[in-house]
Amino acid sequence: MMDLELTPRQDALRQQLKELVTRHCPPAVARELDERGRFPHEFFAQLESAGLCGLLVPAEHGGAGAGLPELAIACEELAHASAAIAVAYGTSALSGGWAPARFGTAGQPRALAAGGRYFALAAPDEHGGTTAAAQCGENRYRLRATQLQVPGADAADQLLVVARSDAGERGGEGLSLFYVPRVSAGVRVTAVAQMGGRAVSLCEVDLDDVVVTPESLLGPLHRGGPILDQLMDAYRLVVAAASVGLAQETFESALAHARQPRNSGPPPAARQAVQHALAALHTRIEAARLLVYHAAWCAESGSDASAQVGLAKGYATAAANQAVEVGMRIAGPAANRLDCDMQRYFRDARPLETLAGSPEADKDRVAGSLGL
Amino acid sequence: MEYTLTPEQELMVDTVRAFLRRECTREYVRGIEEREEFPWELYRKFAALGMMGLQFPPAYGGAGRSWVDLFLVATELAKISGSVYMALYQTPVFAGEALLVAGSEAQKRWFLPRITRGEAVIAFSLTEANAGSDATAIRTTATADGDHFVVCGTKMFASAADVAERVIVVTRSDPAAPPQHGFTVFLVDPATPGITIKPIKKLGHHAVHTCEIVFDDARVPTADILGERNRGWQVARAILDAERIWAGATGLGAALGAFELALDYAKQRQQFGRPIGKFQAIAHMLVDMRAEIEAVRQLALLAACKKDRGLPCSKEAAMAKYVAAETAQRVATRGMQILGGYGYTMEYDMQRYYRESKLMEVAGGATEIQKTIIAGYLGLGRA
Repeated sequence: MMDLELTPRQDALRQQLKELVTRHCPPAVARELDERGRFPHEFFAQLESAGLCGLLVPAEHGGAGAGLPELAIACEELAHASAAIAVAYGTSALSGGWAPARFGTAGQPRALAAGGRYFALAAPDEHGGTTAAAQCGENRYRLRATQLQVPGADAADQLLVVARSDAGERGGEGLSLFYVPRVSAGVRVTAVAQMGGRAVSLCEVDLDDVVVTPESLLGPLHRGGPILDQLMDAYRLVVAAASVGLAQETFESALAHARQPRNSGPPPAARQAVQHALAALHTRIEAARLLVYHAAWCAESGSDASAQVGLAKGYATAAANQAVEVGMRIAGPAANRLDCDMQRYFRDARPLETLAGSPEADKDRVAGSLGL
Repeated sequence: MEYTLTPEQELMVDTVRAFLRRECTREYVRGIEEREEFPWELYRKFAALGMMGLQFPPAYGGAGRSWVDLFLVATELAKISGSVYMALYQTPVFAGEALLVAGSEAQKRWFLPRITRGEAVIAFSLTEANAGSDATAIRTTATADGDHFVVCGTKMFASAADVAERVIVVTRSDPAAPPQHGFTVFLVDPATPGITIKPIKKLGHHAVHTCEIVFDDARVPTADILGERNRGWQVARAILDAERIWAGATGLGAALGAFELALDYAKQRQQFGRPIGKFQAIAHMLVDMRAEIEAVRQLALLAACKKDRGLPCSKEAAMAKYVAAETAQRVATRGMQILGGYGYTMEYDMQRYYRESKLMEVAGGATEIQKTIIAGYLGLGRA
């Protein structure tokens, strides 16, 4: 049965997030977080007390028991405040809630939920980054890494680290996933100055003989590759959903700019070129949203959704970039002022398409699914 | 949120696919295109399959199925050929919707079962030399004279008018009325004295003639009014809305057809020792095509789902129509590029998709008109 409407529960979740964003992370707050490059700890505390940090934790482990379509909706709404916050939230919900529920031991989801509210993902980075190495000892593992690229690591309670535990293997083989408390001895985090998404610092993480126990292992030893693949697909979905939210916020801002009279003349919205640009953008965002929901639904219903997610991410990040392009043009010279939100959206939109894999790598994956 | 087809829908799609594989081969389509021949035989067989009156209520011989069902079938038709789609679905969708919205009980009881049985083709004629995107500028007049109206004027681009049993004609019956008033719609018998129908040469869709219709004091019975006298604008709007929803399926089907040809070719054509689809430039082009096609599918489904729920869907239909048309065009253009020199030959079908898809950006309301409609819903400019 085809039904593209949200369920009442999904609608309620959207409404709840809208209210949380309006109350606790309005544009003035988002602007300040961006200016100071400061992580939204207070906002995450609000999300936690609203029960949203455990969105993907099954109900029997004390969570909300929601799935990937709900995560997409949540990330979309959070991106109205900031795309970076939305991605950080989504990644955390996946790493700290979804992954242990799917791949972890029976006690892991609850133990992790008690172990912090913000989880950062230290996954191998195809853009020339490094992979951590894990040395297996008796009843403990020793992790080493230099310059892992981990968004939000400086603010995280825990890092989910993907490490090569079998040095003889390559690619997706011989990988293991470990939860590492950020305050562990040997963890060094350095924030890097960045152009966009500044509320969540891009960090470099060094692991210098960090010792973790077997309880910190997620899934089977050496066989973390398939877990990582699913985690990355879900991460791409988060990026896609955040892109839709940012695109929508940018569109609404562009619409407001278009309605502002200029020099006592008619507003830009009176011009057909502007009307049509906004109509095209609105359509593109609507399509991107539908693609993201569809991909989320496919992923949730257990089918191999990798191609759908890849297509949705490509389409949605492109929509966000189209939105800022149109928005910057309609806002005019004002868009170049640092007190104008449009430039923040512009800076936030650019990095989205290379998160969780480059657009080219995304396309290669989809091409594979087409038999190419 | 649910994206699965019901077993009934799956069976229906499978049935249509099997029918088209059997009855509407590549050679068949080439034949009707070359001979510029309306596919009567296919028309009747498709009706016999029970696919003509899908959305009509059972009381009129229909199957009482949903618009999503109709959308699924329409996509399959459009995937094969724009002409076949136009020939088979123009009548049940446009004329069917007009009759359901505005037809008298007698008209519905006469025409709908005959459409369902594949016995009647009904064409639609709105456009004139100076009235298309601006439909309010219609100048064909209808003047009351006893129990008849005398119709005078020239219509353009009426598809299948030359084979139709009736043509739905939008006329201006009250020249003094304001722009969206004073229209009357007739179910005109094309054999009426004073009517001349002349096919117009065109780029594609050769199996369905698109015609000019000249009305030279043609006397049309008052009983053949569709809807109410001087209130025909609502009828025209209903037809145009239906056309837009189906334009989503047309574009989606055409894009899928061209995509599949391009994908097959990219897997077979060897250059530099490997299939050209193994080159990133070609593979990524196909992935982009696929992404746009999926976007069209979702937009068009949204419009059909809303229609089924009785929700307003004019904006959604406009969005689906505009993106579907652009996607069909872009996919066919890229398909031509992937097929290279072979795409340019008439031996391969890609050129047909290339020619046919251009019409989609123009017919049923040009892309610019769709954007203007969408902008209207955003509170910008005219609705």
